[in-house]
Amino acid sequence: MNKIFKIMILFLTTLLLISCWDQKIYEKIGFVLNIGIEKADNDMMLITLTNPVVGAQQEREVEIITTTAHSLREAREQGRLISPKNLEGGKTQHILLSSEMAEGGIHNLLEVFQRDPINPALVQIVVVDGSPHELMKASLTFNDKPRSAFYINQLLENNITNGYIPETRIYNFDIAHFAPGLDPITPMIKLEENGVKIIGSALFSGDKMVGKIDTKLTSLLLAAMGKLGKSSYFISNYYDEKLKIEFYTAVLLRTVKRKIEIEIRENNLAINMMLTFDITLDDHTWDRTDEEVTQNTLEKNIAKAIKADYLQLFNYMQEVGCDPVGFGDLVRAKHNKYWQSIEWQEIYKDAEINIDVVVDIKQYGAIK
Amino acid sequence: MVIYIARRNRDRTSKTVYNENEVSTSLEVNLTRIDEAFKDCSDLIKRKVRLNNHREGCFIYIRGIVDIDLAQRDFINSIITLKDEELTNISVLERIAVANIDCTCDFPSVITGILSGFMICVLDGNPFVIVCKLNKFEIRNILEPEVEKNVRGPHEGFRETIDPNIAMLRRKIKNTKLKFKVLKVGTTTNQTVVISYFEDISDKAILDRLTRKIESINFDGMIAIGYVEQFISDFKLCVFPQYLATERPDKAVAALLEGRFVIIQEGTPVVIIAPVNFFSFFQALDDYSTNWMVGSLIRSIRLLGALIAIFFPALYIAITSFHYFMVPLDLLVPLAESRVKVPFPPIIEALILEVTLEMLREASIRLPSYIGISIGVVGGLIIGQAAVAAGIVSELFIIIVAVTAIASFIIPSYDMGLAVRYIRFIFMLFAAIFGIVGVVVAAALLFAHLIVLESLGQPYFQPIIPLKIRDLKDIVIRVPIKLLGRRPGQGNSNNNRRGR
Repeated sequence: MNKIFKIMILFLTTLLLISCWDQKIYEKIGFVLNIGIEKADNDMMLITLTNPVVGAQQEREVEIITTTAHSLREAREQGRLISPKNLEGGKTQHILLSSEMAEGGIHNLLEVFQRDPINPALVQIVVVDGSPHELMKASLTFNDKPRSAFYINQLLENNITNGYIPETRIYNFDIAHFAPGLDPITPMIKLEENGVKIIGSALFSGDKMVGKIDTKLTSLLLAAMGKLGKSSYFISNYYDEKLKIEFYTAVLLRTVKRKIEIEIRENNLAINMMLTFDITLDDHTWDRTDEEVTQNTLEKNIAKAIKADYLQLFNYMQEVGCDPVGFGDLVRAKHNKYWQSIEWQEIYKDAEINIDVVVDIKQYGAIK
Repeated sequence: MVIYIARRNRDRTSKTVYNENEVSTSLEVNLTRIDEAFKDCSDLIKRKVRLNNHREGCFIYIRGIVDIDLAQRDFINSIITLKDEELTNISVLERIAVANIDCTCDFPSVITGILSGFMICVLDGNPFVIVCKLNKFEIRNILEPEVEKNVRGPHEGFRETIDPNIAMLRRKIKNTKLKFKVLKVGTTTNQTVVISYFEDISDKAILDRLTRKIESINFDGMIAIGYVEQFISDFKLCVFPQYLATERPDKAVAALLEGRFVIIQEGTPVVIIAPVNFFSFFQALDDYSTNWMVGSLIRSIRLLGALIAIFFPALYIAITSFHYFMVPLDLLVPLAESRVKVPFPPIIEALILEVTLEMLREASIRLPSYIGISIGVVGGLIIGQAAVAAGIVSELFIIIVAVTAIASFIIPSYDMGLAVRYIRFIFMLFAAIFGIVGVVVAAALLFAHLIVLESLGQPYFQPIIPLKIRDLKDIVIRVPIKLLGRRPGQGNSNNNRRGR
């Protein structure tokens, strides 16, 4: 009996002493879902937070808080001075960065997401072409779209699945940033008249944005990275003189096989990349596509077009010094001695990248 | 059996005021002694007779527990027609054509006999008493147990009297290896407890242990088998049932065939099965009588139900009090909208509804079924609708409580259901204080406790810990009956092959 009494006392005192100091009662929290960061005047950042308003009468309402601050944490605290709810960043979905911020380097800016374990490393990093503040403000007025953060979330998720943009959460970004021979890329969006549009990817070198590519090149880049989605590829088919319309052939890139070889030469480096695509012919003209001859011609044409696009893509990436495919890491892994003797950024810019594309039509549809 | 009882009683009463345990030759003395014993017992009937015109005799029985018609026809008539010299001849008397007749000199066993529904005949000049077992109790019809229904098995249940229960087992198992060990419990009530087991399957050491435990019970009366269960359980500070209580003879037979022991007590239709493991409480006959795939599905749903019943409310409390970031994005706003009207913190909200639910459940057990329906209305409409409308609880929590309630109802054993209900509250408190860490710690403690537990000396959480790979095929998944060729290890059986 004495023992039980002691245990009870112990239990009750702990119960009273802890007083639930770290409790975060659900309905008292304001969930910061979007954070927009851009440069403001007077040496500060313009930070915009959105928080879905929860209450009986306000359906679909979003609270938007704009502050100028020197750090993300300061912005949250500023927001707490305004918002009726206790703002918390644990459910943040996106960080929308202006290109200006991204070009200046973002690794230190986002350090709070690693330091405070409540803040998720699952936040998606998105670069906005334009002002994130304007975009977030405008997103409140899209009556035919879900609430701001939910809209952007769905938009990004679908396009990640479709393979038009990379999935770049903070942890992906950090991994790519910390790896010596690998560079991050992030999705890029832009405000349109009545919506937000995915425009492609931002290319980073280290943690600084150095360039951008469109969705077509992004999908090819993702294929080269081994992260092919379900993207379609278009090439010119024929020009209708009467209508004055150029018609395109559409193919679905189903799977890709990569083979990368590194060849170290005396004073430069050659990277040979072989990509084999399995495709489905989705949209074409009435043609004998069931015949092998037609298919072969078509395959060659598509392969040629894809190769041209790749050459353009890699030339551009070499120019800006961004290596998202991880050629550097390959060199580091396979030729470590060589790697230690070189400055990768310099070598990469002058490396010879040879692309070979093979296309195989696996399915040509129901038409014979 | 009578001799055994007599022997026990002789041992027990040797210290009492009667130095003389023998039956007297004088009718008067015997009657006085019986009168003394049965003072103020209006249900004792004494019918004095005079045999062969001069020998005084008396038939004694207790009204209501003796079959009078049978006694009149077979016992009284046979005695009356005997000649005088035959009335004193013990060997003649013992051969009267009545089932179950005996002559005894032991006085206390006479008293026990009368109390057990025997009719006795005391004759003047005889140093013994003729005892005839003619008991007939009013007993219930065989019904399907209310709390343990099944679909494809037999629909009969045990009853309150011990002999038909034993007979029911015997009827199902026509084998001489099925043994019944008779013990007495209740210092005042003198109830019979029978341990039944298979001689060639069950472990003798466990039987001895069980016998010792039952014999050491020192209590005046066992109203229900739960009393015995509590006296013989090894771990008194434990909410989990350590023995499996059932009203189903088929379950008892299945247990016997697995080398377990079935304890039957007089006066209750519930028998207990020992030793058992944690998973025995999630098994039902239907798992075995249907196809193995269906049986496995149902079995796994039951185990899942137990997990849901324990963890769901606790997780709700932990998430809404501490870990808002665990809520999926699509549920974020709907959950917040349902919570925003509630003025209480999650633990209070949960306790209000859970306690109400427990009250409803308790009320529906005690009430007759026609009022029970109105309880359903009260529970469903008033608690469900009105509590949400009034902003006392959130809609989502109503769903969680409903799911939890259903999940806890699918546990076939009532005792295990009670244990799960009890544990749920502990988990809820831990979750409210420490969040998900509390739930994890509570779960760890729960498993540690389950691993330490024993049922009649056998590990309770086997075959998971200690791991017995061969027995795993009848835990979550019930493999085809053909592959269940060996008895589970828990019964420690000597002979673990099922079938020849």
